[in-house]
Amino acid sequence: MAATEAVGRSAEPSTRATLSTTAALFGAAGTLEHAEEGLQPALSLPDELLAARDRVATARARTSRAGTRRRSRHRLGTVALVGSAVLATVAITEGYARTPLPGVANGTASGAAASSTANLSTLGGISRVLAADQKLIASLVKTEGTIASRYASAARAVGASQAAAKGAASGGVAASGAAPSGTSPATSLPPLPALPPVPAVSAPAAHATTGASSVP
Amino acid sequence: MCLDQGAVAVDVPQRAAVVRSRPAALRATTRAMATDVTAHLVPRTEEDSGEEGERALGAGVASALEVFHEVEAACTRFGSSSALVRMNRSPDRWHRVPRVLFDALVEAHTAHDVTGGSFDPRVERALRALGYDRSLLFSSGDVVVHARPAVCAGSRGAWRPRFRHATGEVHLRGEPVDLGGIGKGLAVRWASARLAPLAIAYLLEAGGDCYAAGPGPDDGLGWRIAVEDPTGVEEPVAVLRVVDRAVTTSSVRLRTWRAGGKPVHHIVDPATGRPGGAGLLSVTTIGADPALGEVWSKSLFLAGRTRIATLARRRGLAALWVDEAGAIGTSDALAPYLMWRRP
Repeated sequence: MAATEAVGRSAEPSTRATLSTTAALFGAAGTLEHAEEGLQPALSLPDELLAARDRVATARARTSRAGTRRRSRHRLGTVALVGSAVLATVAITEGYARTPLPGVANGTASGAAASSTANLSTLGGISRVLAADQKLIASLVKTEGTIASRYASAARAVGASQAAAKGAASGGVAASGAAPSGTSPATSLPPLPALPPVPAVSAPAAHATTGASSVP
Repeated sequence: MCLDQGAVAVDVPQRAAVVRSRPAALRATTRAMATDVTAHLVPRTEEDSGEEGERALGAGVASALEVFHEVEAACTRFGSSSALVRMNRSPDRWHRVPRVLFDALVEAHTAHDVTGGSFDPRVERALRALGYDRSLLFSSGDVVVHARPAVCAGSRGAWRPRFRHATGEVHLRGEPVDLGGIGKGLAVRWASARLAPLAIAYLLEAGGDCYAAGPGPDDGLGWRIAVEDPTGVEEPVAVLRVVDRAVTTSSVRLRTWRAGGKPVHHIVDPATGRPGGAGLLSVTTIGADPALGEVWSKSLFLAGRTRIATLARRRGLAALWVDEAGAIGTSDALAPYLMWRRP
């Protein structure tokens, strides 16, 4: 570490010169070790060198500021250019979309009415399909709730594991005829698996009964 | 005497049938006080093994069941031979009575005070006025009796019989009494005292009144007592689990008849002299003592549907009741015993 040795040999320390020298020797990438060394008594430099260094630093700072301003102007200009292009594109597209179609603008009234009727018919069909779908979804939700409640009852009575085993065992049995009645073919539900028999939660066996006394 | 196949018969008095249906359980039955009485025992196996042990056990059980016959003989108000009937004929003088009747009257007096007068044995005249002056054949179907036109008025003031403990004499102070509201409970209490040294667990069942001692015969968690549905449905309204507790029920399911063109029952309100318990069909209580349990079940019944919950809560009684609509009610104190309740 030559710099350390040089610092150790300095006889007239100068704080300003020490800091500047440290910056010049190690640059901005100085480590903690370097910074600590910079606090040691530093090498004394001639005034000419110091003035030259100051001039160089001033020139660098000026150049840096000018570059920063140039880059900022360039960015703003790019953004403004791109934004203008987007706005112009949107305006052109909207204008095109609002332009009446040649066929419609120049066609007869009966043609427009026919087209509207066709559109209304299509919309009506879509509405009916949506309504059927909603009915189907509601039916599925209701069926799911029924199945869940029956499974819960079975699980409470005989234990969750036994209920699950029964449900799995009888899942494919008696699948036909499980669709709810009254549904059209288009919205009929897939056949449901047969539910396991729900055991009645009956009274536990008792050793005795209390009640009305027997009579003669 | 009817013995199960393979059961061990033991030498017991004529009136009790003792059956050992399983090595660890013994059952003995008799009929007294118009009720089938059954005792289930889990004997102390070390002491009861062998023929002599079996014989001693059977004799002890029969002695316990004999209590019911003793109470019936002394305390029934039917017929002409009981000490109570003789005393009721002339209630305005001193009577020397059997020890069983003396003790029963003392206990009835205590119960009268404990319940604040809602239990009062001075309903004998009211019951006779309603035609219940003999054992009615309720099981034969509709029972119709010719009641007297005027219903007896209720009791007035506190009941204050006089006792001479040294001589076993009683003075009823002019009013005949009926011990139907406490007699069977007392029999269960006294019979239990005889069964206690014989078994590690036992259940004494006498119609509506039960006493369950010890951990039971199965899982060691107690005895399971079903509460009958007074509307006649076969399934019970609840199943209770008890250890060292009496379970007693007052119900009008069976002892109901028609008198003077009106339906009446046997639970008479001493305040009015008429059948009470408006809106209720049965009341079941759980407590430490079967006699007080029977008394409280009747007192709660007389409170009627509108007041029973309040009375049970105020007295801290474990009670379950069924009203005329079939609805089931319970007090908070019943919760620890409630094993199952019909939804």
